[in-house]
Amino acid sequence: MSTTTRIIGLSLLALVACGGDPDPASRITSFRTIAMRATRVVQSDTCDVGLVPAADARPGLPPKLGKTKCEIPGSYAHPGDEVQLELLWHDPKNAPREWMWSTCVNPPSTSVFGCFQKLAADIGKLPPDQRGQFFINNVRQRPGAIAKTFEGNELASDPASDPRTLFRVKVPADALSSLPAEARAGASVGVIFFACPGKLQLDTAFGSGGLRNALPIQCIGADGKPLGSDQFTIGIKRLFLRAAEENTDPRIDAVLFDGKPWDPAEVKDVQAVCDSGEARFDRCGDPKHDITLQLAQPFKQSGKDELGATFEEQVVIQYYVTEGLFEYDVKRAEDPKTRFAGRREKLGDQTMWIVIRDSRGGVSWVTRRFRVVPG
Amino acid sequence: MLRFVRPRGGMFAAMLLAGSLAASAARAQDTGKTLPGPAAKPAPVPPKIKTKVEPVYPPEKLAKGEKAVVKLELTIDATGKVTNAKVEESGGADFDAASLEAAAKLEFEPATLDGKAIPSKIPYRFTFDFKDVPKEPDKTDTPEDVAKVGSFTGTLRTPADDLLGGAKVTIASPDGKTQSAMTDAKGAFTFDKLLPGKYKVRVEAVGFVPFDAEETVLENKRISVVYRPRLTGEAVDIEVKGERPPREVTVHVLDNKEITRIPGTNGDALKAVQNLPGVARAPGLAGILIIRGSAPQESNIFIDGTLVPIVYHFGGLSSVIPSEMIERIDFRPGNFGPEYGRVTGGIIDVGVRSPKKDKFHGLLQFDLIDGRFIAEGPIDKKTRVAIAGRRSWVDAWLGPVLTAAGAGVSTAPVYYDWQMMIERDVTEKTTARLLFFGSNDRLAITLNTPSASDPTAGGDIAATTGFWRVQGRVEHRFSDTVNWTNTAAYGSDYISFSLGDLKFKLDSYPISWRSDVRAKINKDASVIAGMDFLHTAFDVTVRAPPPPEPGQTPGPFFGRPPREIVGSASLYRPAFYWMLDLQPIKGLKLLPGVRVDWFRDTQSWNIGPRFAVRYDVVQGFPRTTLKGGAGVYHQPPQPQESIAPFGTTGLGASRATHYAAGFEQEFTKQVDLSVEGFYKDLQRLIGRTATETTTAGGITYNNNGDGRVFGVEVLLRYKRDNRFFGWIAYTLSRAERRLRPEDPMTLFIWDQTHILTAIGSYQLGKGWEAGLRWRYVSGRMYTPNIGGVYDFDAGAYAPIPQVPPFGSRLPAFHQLDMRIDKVWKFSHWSFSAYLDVLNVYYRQNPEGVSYNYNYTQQQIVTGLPILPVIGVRGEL
Repeated sequence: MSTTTRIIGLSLLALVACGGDPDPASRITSFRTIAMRATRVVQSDTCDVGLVPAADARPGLPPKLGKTKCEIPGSYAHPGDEVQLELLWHDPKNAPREWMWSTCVNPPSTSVFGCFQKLAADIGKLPPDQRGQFFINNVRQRPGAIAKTFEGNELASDPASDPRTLFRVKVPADALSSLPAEARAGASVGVIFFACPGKLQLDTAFGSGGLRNALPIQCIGADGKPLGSDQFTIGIKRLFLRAAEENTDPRIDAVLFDGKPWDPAEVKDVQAVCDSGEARFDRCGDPKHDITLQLAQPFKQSGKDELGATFEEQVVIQYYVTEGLFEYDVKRAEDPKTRFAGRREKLGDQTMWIVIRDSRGGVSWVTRRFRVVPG
Repeated sequence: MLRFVRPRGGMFAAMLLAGSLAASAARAQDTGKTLPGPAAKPAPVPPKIKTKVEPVYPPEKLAKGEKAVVKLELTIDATGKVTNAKVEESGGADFDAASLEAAAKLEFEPATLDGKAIPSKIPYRFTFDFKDVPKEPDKTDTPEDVAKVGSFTGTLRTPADDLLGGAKVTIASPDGKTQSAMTDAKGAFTFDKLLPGKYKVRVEAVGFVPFDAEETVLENKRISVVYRPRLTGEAVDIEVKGERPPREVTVHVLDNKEITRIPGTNGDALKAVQNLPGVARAPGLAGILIIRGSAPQESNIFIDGTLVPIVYHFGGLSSVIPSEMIERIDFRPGNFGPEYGRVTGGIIDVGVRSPKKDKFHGLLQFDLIDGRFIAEGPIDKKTRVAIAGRRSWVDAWLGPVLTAAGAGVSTAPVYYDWQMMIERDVTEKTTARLLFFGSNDRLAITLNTPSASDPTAGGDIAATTGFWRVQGRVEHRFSDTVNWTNTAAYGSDYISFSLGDLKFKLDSYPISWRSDVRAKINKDASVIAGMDFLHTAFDVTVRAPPPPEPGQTPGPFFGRPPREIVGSASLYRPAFYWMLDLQPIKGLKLLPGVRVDWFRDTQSWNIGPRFAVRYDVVQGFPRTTLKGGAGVYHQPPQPQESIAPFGTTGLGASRATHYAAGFEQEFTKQVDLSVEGFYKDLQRLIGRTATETTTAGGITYNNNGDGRVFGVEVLLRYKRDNRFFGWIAYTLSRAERRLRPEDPMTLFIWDQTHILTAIGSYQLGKGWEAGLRWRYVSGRMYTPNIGGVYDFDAGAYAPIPQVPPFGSRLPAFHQLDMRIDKVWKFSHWSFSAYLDVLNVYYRQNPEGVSYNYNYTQQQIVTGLPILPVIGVRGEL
């Protein structure tokens, strides 16, 4: 009871406190991961309708696993599946980093820290002197993991692919059957991603208590000391496991700029109408630009899942940009339009990413280029 | 010994204060009276003047035209004789001597408690005004007339000492003839040429309780009196009590007028509780009660002995029952008696007053927060009814604010509450009452722009919180020494909250029955025994990701599969209690007791022995009392924690052991001090582990937690007199907990080291009153976030909380609030207005911490700015 009251109260408090955010999530000015999408890779002599031959699946990416394999975009995986994860990220400085991918199978909680907790439990079972080695093995030789760290990446056999962007995981065949039937809604494989501007290593205090929120991995800086968690990047993606159910990703058919199609190759000119440092969209001058999407219909799914639970997806659109201000950073798919204004902070070539996510892990994105010119 | 202030005197409110205090002390000593029931204690009846004696005006003073007022304290025995008179406020030696001489000749009908005469102490005042000295016989009067008649004059004043004009004064002579007069603008009335004898006097004024007295008119004398009828709003005092004898350790008593005048509370009685020692300040806009370092859900709120789920409407703006309907508030921050249980924190029991018996009354009040009405009165000589309701206006201004912020508002935040009551004296010894009351808070908005920190917080958001109860109460007095009260209630609690596709809905149907017998065994011993039965059936629907382990951040929720659980279950929790009230020697009170609870959901009997002791080291004024107590308390798990599929079967109840010791010291009639130290040992606190891949509920609960709370509470109080009331309350405390044995003990989220409240209110005269409240509170504990983990499914960051949790404290809170009241009285009604200004000096008080998108930068979020609230009230 009091929780409800508290939520209402805090919501009102948030409203009282709202204002222009000087550091919005939508403006990407340093290294940032933006989205990760999953694609099931299945063996098939010929791809059925809805399956895309791997060679043609992602424009710009080379064939990876042979023409007899098909890629099925979607956030749900099945036991035994091989799933490819693709990361959307941006690093304006292209600084050197140590990259690491890892997984956890069926963590005790689907919250972000459940995966770390599972990793902690696994490592905690080992003698302390073996934990460091476990970490290395886990990263590089964990059963079921195909790609590991950047340097040891098995996908490097395909020289054209970027192992920082792609990662593959093999879902254990018993990942679902090993769980009680009533607990399978939480079945998942967590995919952990680290990017460290120093050297990654296992936290030596890991497993010795106080682990609930501690990260199992440390990023060591040039001075040999662990960097704060605000100085490296950690991300988690969940592959929800279902026996047969699929969750197709929502798709963007077209991006409209001031009502007109904005093709991927087209670079739009945007006048800088916001002062440098300006955080409030309503204080910017004109012109401002309408940005909206045309979504493939139906853009969201509803019904009853294979576990018998009813669901209705929420679908949201998140806008990101290297410079500029959005009127709204996040919109519901039912009302995707936002407005955008260029800022004098940084003139020249910029990038905009538009990501659409459904509430069951499905995701798609598009990238557009524009140029900020003096307004 | 009971203390009363003479009802006709100007210290009527003080009488009730003193009476309440003294009655508390008296119960440790007096004998043979019906013990008060848990909800409605028999009120002592003050002594009435039987033979009035006018003092002789000191001739020298009369010659100089000097006036004086002498205030006495009279000790009256059980026969009505004045056995002692003591000058409390001197008017000068001559006046004092004359007063004491006259006082010794006064005769009273003795005070009674449950019909039995008892000794008492009362304040009494003689006013020497040469204008009242019997004048020389008017030359137009015949000698016979002068010789055979007297006169009766008087002045009516309000409790605030303002003159009360337009009131009707009726006198009835010994032969039954009546005559009436209206008071003039100066509140004066006069009856001349009255035959000697006893006259019954009745004073009636709109907005005041009708007042009866008896005066004796003497030959060739002019009687002069001053009457101070009570305001109808003061008809029944509200007492906010700490642990109160005879069953607990300490006593804090506030009267109605104090409660409704506390700045910053909008006159809300239950919000006044927040100003007492042991009550922490709740975060801004959070309508919760934090008592002695306990979590809000560890304290229970009752309305006349029936458990209710909430005490405040949303945002803590107002309590769920209006002050005008409240008879008393029993506030027990710890060491409460065995009649209460199932929690390890504190108890608040709100007593709803009976409808007025004299005539129909009405009240209408509006302020910027809400509007309310009350109508009440008698149907016949034995039956009376009351109906009341309230609706908030917040939606009128908050709706547009939310809309301007980009939200579609279908139901702006709004709350209601209502009370309907019928009460009947079935027989002379039996009173029955039926009360229907409830509360409803709701809102529904649509956010078109989901939150960047969790896109789940978009779309439709709706919340409803409410309850209703039908409560029947029968109080039967078998004899002067045995009282039996039965209170049964049925109702519903409902909570629903939806956020996009996630929802939580709980409908519960509690049935409660409390049967309480109190009997006086002999003059030194009483027994209290009872049964406290609770059965709750509930239907619940949850559609949300299971919660993580304590200390982990639950969100973002977007992109995580919700787990939907629909179920029905019931709780059965009977309890039995016994307590003895022993007085082995004068001034010493021993209160051993025990409560036995059965919790069906945990399949366990829980035995909670409790003991309290009070000893008056110095009896009489100025009283010094030592006090102490210890007790064991059990709190069953929440339904979602113990009942499958949500919870974990086999879970046990949490347990707390309360210890308290302290003293009370009177300094003057107005000023007293209460100091109490306390320690709470918390064991078997409920923790949880995440088990989403092994259990249907996704979480497994355990009893691995423990903790402790200790501190000291100080209350220095100036009890209300004709002009002023105020107090300083200070609490120094520390609350620590851990939910896993291997973790270090850390400060609890509700730990507040220093809580200081200073309140003062002064009656300026002519209906004006002004008050100030200043509070200083240590900042709330919080767990800083030290960065974020990017959740690719939500496109948002999950904060990384620092370990151990609650390692930081917000800056201290301090705030000054101001209140001004003005009352206008008319012939048949009264009108009042108030201005309650919160945060007068515009302190930017920290209420929380906000972060940037990836939790690498934080800033303090401040609370409300200056907030003036204006209210008006009309009263019939």
